[in-house]
Amino acid sequence: MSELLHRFADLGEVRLHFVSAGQGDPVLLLHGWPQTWYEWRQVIALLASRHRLIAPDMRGLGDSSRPAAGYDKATVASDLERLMREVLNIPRYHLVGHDWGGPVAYALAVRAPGAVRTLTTIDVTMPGDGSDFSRGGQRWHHGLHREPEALMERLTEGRERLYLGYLIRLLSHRVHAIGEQDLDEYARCYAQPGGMRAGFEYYRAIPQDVAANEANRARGRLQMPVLALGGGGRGGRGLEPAQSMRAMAANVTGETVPESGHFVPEEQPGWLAERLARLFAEHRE
Amino acid sequence: MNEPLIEHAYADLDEVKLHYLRAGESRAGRPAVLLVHGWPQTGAMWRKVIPELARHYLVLAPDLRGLGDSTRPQTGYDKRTLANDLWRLLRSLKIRRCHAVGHDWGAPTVFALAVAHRQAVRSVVALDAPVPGDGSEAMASGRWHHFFHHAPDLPEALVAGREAVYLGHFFRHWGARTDVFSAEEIAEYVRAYSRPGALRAGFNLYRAMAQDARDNRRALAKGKLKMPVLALGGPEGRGRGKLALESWQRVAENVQGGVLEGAGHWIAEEKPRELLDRLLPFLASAP
Amino acid sequence: MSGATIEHQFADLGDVTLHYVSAGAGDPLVLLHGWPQTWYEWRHVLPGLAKHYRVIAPDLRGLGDSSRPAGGYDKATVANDVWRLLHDHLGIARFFLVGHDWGGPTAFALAGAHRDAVRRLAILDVAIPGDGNADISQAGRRWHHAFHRTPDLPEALIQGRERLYLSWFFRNYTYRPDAISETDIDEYVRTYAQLGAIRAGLAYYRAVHEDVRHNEELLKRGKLAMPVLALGGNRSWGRRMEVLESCRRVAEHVEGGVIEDCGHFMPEEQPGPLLEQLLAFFAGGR
Repeated sequence: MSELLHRFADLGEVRLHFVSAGQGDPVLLLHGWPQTWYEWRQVIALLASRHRLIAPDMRGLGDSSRPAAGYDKATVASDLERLMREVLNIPRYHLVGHDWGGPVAYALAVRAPGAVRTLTTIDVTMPGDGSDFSRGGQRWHHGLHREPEALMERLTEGRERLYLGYLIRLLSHRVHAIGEQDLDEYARCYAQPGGMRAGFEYYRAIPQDVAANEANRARGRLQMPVLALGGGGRGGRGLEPAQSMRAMAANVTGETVPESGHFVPEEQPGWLAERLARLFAEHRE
Repeated sequence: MNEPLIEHAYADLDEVKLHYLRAGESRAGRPAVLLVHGWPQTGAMWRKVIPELARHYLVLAPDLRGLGDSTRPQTGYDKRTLANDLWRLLRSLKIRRCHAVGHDWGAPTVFALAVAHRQAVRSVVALDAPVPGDGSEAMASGRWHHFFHHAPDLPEALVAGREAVYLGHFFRHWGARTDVFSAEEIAEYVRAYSRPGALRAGFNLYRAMAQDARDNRRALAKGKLKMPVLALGGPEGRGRGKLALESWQRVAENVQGGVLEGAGHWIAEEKPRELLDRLLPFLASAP
Repeated sequence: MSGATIEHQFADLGDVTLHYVSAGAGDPLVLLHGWPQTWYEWRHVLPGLAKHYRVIAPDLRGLGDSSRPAGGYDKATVANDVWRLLHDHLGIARFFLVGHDWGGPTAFALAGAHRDAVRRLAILDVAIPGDGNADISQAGRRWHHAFHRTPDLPEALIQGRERLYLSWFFRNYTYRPDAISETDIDEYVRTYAQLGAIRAGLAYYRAVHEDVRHNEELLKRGKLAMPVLALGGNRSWGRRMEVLESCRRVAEHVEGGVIEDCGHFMPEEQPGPLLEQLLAFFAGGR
């Protein structure tokens, strides 16, 4: 089993922490909220013999630095596009995004379509797909995170693990999949100064993301193959992700992940790794 | 002229003891005026309008079950049960007819009272709140806090010890201006909601929403309300604006109202004089 | 050496997701835990049972790794969750059933609602609410009943002190406190310290009046007809012969008595003798 390398890339405005492992066709793995590169640990172990995997902590999150601004997904995507092209000299790769990593991946595919062999989004819908991203207030954490005067920073200070732990359990089907030590690891990052703020900024940028994606859609849909997965169990979004991606891309395959909620890479790492390996094998250069 | 005295009183209703403010006198031919608060407030929210109302009516402003200085039973936060608490309060005082005025969750509570006692409730005033189960999506639409409060355990856990942060946020941002409430006024509400169980009771008002919608749909199957209804919304801040009137028009036949200019959600505290100017003639004209 | 392969599964029943473990093959046998415990209390008897039965041990609604809905903690609803797990999710039509502590009233409610599906029933160290004896709290001696029914105060006091509170019961309600180690307590606290678990556990107690009413109604249709095994621990806070007496008031064919040198936490304090009794009792029903 190849080793996990922890590295940093200085992009000026932001310093990205990322993990790399394995050999073979490159794959960029983008985590979501409230998580970090660490959500990919099992998938990385399963794919490292066949692929070179890059799993960064996105701007503001994990052990990356926390700039004051730039949390619209186009800017976050531009960090990662530079990481792959300028820092790692990887011109073409498979792209996988979970949760907020999904909209970031979409923005990256729009920015650099030639770089993305295949795009996989996991249990997330796209802002600006024509529907109400916050589902009329039902996705209440959107509204709560976006309240002014740092309301949520003040409510969660010192209670980061409580809040993140609650949400993670709420949206998991196999609640064992993310254990106490895993929660500790996520809380370690999010409890750092600015950790929660940066995460909430991803939500505060929603109007900007919606506008950007409406414009992107008007210019045309993505043409590369897209796999849109949704958890089939409690907390998962079933076929909603595929429905959303069809507004943004021409060539979408939608599937539900059995016995999984929202946290697919940890709830069903074996299923996911096998599914991704098959997708990547079908689209070799 | 002397200001009518506002007294504190209590009604022992077995599984709940209601605290209420009381002012004015019962007058022949005039129903009492029942003022019902919402979240995150108590009967004290009516302090700016009680003195004037009490010149003409017997005025009662209870703390709802679980809130303020009322006791906090484990269950019963659906509005039908809350309304029944209020009905039992009225009966304990031998009051047979009332005007029912409700703000925020107090408005659906007053609706539940009115559908259960269509003769006894002579008129309804609804401030800045729609009726759950009115056939529209108005109740929770776009309002994340309805869904957040619905989640078990989490709101209590995040807000405990930080009641001033959370409640203060609503008091500052839901009115037309951020300075509607003084620091002391906010502190008073925060004190009430910091007592053990008060947060739970308050969030349970939201957790009963589905039950409320079902109860209201069943009640409306027997016909819309016929007594006069005045429905006002605050057009500023995060007030409901004209959505309040639209909702009540779906559930009652004789509805007037609209928006109260310049007010956000906290109508009775932002624009007490303007509210009284609408309220007094309306109450006087109800049969 | 146990050798039983324990599988952890989750069943999404809509309003609740139940975590359950399963092991073994054969006729289904269902184990229902109590408070403040989880499926884990059955760990010592599970391998022995799994040699002869397909054993299923869920975490009840609100507890363990099951989800924590806002309501539904009356035992009829909790029992219905288990029914939906067995019947709808796993396709099981008939089964043997064991309940300890709150798992006992839950098992009773399940057997009462599905009298043909429950082949034999074992009740461990608990009395059945609504059995005609008004005092399952033993004249206040079991003070935690009234404490748990007090609104708000128990949550406020226990929060952040879950291990302290639960440990008191593990150390004082056992005759053999060594039966529940610090590592075992870690496992219980792992889930009882999660947000909502204490609230859910308290709700089991808060629903007792509803349980009494429901069971009184149920008993109007007649006592349970399937064979019942009733066992109480004979020391410490074990309920001794009370279990047999209570079960005799609610079922026609009751056998049992006491387990020696045993307090309340029977499956952990005396797994050997318990296993022997369960195997003999259920073998009679095959």
